[in-house]
Amino acid sequence: MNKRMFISKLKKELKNYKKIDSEEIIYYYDEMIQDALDEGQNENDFIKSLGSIDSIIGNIIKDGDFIKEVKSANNNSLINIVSTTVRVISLLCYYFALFIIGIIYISIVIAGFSVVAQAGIYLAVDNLDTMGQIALGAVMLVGLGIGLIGLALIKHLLNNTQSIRLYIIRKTKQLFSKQRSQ
Amino acid sequence: MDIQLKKGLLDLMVLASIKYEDSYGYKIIQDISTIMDISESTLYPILKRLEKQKLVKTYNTTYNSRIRKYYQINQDGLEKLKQSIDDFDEIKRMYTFIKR
Repeated sequence: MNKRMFISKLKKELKNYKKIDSEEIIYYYDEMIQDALDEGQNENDFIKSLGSIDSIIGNIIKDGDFIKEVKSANNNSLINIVSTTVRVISLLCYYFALFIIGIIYISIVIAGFSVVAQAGIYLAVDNLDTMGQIALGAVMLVGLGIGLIGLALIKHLLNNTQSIRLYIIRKTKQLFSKQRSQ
Repeated sequence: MDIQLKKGLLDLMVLASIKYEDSYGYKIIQDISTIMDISESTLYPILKRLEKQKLVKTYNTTYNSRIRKYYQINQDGLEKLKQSIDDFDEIKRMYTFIKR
């Protein structure tokens, strides 16, 4: 693998990790490889010695302190500059929004699985012809799909609570600064 | 070597490698790897951490018509190194105790 391939692969993989400062890491490896090449090292050998992209990203994630520090640094920089009012209001908005979105997602899950249950009961209790059974089977699958979509949405929500919170704080702050300037 | 033990020491090794002159990623690895094993992917979080803790300062300079990031130790970093030498005296005493 040459440098260009390595960097583009790294870039692609890092896209999956929003919490990592990918720009900086790419920069770091780009410089590292270039320095190695300038020192007369073999491009392929050096890139091989860097290890797999997975292990590179793994090392960054494994360094728990690092992630925690980056997280708190992001939080602090934003939270320190906003006033208490903004913070309280945005926090209330945050929990309210989380509550509403959470309830919507949970109801999707419940709706999906109750369709499965309902269709299952019909299938078991009623004496249906083959066509009816197939139709109910299809309905069950649709219900299962809806339920799984709901579960995925909940998981996504839980993964993104942090960014939602920062987004709301930012928006509230913008709202306040706009009012003040008017 | 025990990972936990090594982790703490690596931070100090990186600080020590820039004690006398500013350095950059590739060179830091070259300097340290003569003494202990360190990979490029381990160095990155360490540099990042030292920067966050304000023990080192960074700046960019042009080299061969490309930008290179340099790391410079600051007063707090030097303090930390000095402190570590005192710590080592204690570790030495502990080691003697363990070894007896």
